[in-house]
Amino acid sequence: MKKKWLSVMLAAVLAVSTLAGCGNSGKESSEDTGSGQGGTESNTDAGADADTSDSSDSEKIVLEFYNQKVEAESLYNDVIIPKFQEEHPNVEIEVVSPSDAETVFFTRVSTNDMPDIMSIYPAEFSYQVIMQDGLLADLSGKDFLSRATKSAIEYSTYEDGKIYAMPYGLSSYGIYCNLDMFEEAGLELPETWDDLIACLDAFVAKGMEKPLIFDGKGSLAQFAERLIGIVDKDFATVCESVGKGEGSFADADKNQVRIFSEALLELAKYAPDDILGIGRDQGTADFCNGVYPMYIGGTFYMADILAGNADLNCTMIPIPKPDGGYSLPINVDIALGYYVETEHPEICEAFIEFMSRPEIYQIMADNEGTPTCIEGVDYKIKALQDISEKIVGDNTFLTLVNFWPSGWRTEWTIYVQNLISDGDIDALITETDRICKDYYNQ
Amino acid sequence: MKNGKKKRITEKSLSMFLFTVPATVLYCIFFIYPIAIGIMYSFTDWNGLSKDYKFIGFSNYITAFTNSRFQNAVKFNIKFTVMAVILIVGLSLILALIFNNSKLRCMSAFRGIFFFPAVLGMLVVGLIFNEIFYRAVPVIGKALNISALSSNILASKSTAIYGVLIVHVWLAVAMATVMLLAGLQSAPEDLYEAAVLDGANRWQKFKYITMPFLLPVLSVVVILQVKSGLTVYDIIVALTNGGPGGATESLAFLIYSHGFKEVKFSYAIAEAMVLTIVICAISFIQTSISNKKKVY
Repeated sequence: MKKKWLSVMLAAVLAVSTLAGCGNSGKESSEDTGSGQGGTESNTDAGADADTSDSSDSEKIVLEFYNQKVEAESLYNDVIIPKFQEEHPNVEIEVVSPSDAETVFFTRVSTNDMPDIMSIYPAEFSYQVIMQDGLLADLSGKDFLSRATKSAIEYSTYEDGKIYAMPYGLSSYGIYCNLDMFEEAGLELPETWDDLIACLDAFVAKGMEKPLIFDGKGSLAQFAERLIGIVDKDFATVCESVGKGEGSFADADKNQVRIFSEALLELAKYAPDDILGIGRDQGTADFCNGVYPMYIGGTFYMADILAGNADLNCTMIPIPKPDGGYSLPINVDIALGYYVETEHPEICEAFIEFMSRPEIYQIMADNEGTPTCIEGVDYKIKALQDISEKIVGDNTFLTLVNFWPSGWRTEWTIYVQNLISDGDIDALITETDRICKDYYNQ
Repeated sequence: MKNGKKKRITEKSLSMFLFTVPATVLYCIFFIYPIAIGIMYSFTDWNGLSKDYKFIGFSNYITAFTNSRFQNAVKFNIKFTVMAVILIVGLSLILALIFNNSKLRCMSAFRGIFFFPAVLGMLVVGLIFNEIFYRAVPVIGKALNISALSSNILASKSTAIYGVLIVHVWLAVAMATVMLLAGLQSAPEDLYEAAVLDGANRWQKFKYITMPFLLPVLSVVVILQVKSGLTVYDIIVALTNGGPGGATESLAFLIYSHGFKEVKFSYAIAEAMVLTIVICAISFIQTSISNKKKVY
């Protein structure tokens, strides 16, 4: 009898302990996760001194910084955060940079597990949903915003006129040119579309069968998006009108897709035949090893290129417009915001301000490589110096992914791959019409 | 007496019930609850980020069935799964029979070597094969003047599926072989001896002794391979990213793409629900067929 009661009791204890383990998500578990990924945590009792200035108490405050620029993780940990800690000795900032950071970030957003400070892309639709939901603190009117260029602030401003993230870096897209190979071939860097084609022809004439490479797999979406933006920076507006039944891309006055297709097919002629099987890793490796003199990619490829061959003598030029001149696609690439309900808003803001100081951001610009929009920072990465000057100039446009409905670009890229594969421009025009109708009528 | 018995049964059941509580609670929290929530979200227009959503009925399911990408993904999955199951089961059965019957001394070393792919991460294998298909195979193809091998098979819409298939099969054969080998060793030796005395040939021994004992394991292997074929995802991410031109977009890849890249979370959940029902149905049919034939 005793045994039976014992077994009943044991089972009951087991059951209760399980429930207790699962249900205890309150104060205790939040303290436990202080050293992990639990968000804003203080190792004081339930963050009792949360709102007091961090310099006035000696207790450690731990903040989570969700960094989507994975390549900058060690720079934050080893250099920037220790410098911040000189001013805020009791603040510990944990940098979280998982691979596939954006997916992890959105999963966390959907489960309301927001980090304290986060790097975001303020112009993109998905991040604007977060702004719309009021998850980010409003930075409008803060003094440090004036340290960024006007255009960067403009690109980072949400449609309600408020600014939820401080921009630091702007990215662009262009053609990396191997200067040694250009010199060897006796060629000048191309400035116009005709120059570019003449240059590619010259390389072919000198025995280099395929002088151009780009990522035909994972990043083709980015390239196609930039190229059609170069053709017409207001293409997204045209997409909307076609989506709402006002004409078709087959119409003579809406020939952007045709011009884009002809330009892309012309470039693809100079790229390897199996371009659709070449990814960014392979393209970067081949460009670093001097296999191809020209490589189409983003300024954010620079860290990989430097890692692959730090001595490579290269520079980035804009992709010329097929009808003359150039127009540089821009995106806000590094911007920091903080969670509106963080327990330590003043420290989060202090960190964002600290990062915007020219002398601090100089460290980032020297090592991470993304062209900066912080005034007073001397951008020294040789390969991107020319393009970084153009980025802050007037001949730029905010890249189209920020205007298309979410998913538009992903679906469209499938048919852009088909275009490269089959060369069927009319099929792409038909599909672009259909995608616009699908997305703008949802 | 009757009452006492009744009481004892109640105590026993209570204790048994309490022992099942932890597992049941965990199962409900981590399995039943997410599924229930998932089913609910599949009837909404939730984008995965926003706090607001509204119920839209079967709209996501209707869109899924009429969407050409979804239909292509279903076709890809069926084609891929059929080829993968045939190749994996065939190859692993041949290997298991060789390993089981061979008297070679170094056979255990061979078993280790053949098992090696199973311990590698799928993504790592995908990245390695990516380089092999891009750099090594075309060189060999050109040297031997074989046109099919002269270019990257992942770059063409018609051949990319075979690139994915080769890597998938290479990885999956290892575990399937080990499982079938265990199944082969469960057939008692004395039955084979009796069969030899009865004058049975090799094929008859395989058909009437080996196969019935192998069926339970074979059935598990087939179910696992059907499931892994229908849910193939990570190799596709590493090898083709769904391309070229959507030629290798599997259902799982499409679900991920819709959920996380295209911010259509509820739509992705609806697709996932369809995939779940398909896998359950296939597994059920497959199990009920093989249950009739196997020997315990």
